[in-house]
Amino acid sequence: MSIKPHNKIAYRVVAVLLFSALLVALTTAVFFYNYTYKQEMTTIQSSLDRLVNAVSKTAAIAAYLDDKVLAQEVVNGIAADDFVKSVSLHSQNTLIASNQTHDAFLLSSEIMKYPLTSPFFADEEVGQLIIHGNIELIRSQARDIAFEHVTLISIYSFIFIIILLFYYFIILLFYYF
Amino acid sequence: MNQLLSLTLLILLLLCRAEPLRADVVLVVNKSSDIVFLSKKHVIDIYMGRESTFPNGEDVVPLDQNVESPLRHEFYKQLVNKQVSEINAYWARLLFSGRATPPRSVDNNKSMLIMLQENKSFIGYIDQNNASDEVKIIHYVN
Repeated sequence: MSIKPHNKIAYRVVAVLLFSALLVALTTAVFFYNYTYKQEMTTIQSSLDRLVNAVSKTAAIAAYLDDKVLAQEVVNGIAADDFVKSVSLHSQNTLIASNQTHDAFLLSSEIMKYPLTSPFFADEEVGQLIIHGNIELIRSQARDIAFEHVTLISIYSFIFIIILLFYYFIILLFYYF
Repeated sequence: MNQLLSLTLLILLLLCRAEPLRADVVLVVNKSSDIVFLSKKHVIDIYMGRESTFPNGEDVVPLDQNVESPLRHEFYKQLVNKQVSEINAYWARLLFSGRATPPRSVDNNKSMLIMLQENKSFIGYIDQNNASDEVKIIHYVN
């Protein structure tokens, strides 16, 4: 049984449609994955910045006075965040509070440093807050959210292709058979 | 004529900007103290609990004016450009740590001068106009 010419065209159109739809879906998925991943990383970074900002005045006072008790309160408050692995508060060059051993910070490359200025002299740096972010968790969360978005986009694309094919075959049946 | 004069006076009064009186706050110590000068930074550090000694190593005890005293407001405004409420918030943060305590408050200028005359470790602030020979000025806040 040979394929009729109009059927050949129909198959080609279907193939082109499928290929185009898959290409668009794939490109969009890749683009959205990267976009969402970067967005999530920025969002998490911003939330950490906001957290530090909320305690920076108290942290600065603790560093200014070398107040270990107050510094430890600040450290414990920040360390309670899931995205924070460890925290240390330094006044000038001295460690005044930490929730881990000092060596852990020296070995780590994923640290965020926040300078602390004197509560009374804006140009005097009295210490710094060093945060070791839970990079694995941050990346994993960013990846999960990005993957979720891509999965949704893929499902929508798949449904769209099915509907498109369905209508295409309906039209074919109507005109040729 | 009287009405014209009154009107002129009223206009002149309105044109005058009402500015609060600005006291010249000075830091004073016992006249027999070895200290002759204190830097602004050292004064801030003493009053904010960071420093507990004079530059020569002797103990220092800062004295504050009464909570209601306008001089207290003026002092902190001129020294660190902060309101007394902000300074109170600063001390409130340190309430439970015990690392530093706020300066001791005295009732009035007279009490301040008496206390300064009694103890070489005390440091206080007064209006320059109230300074006597019994105390030594070691810093002009403004």
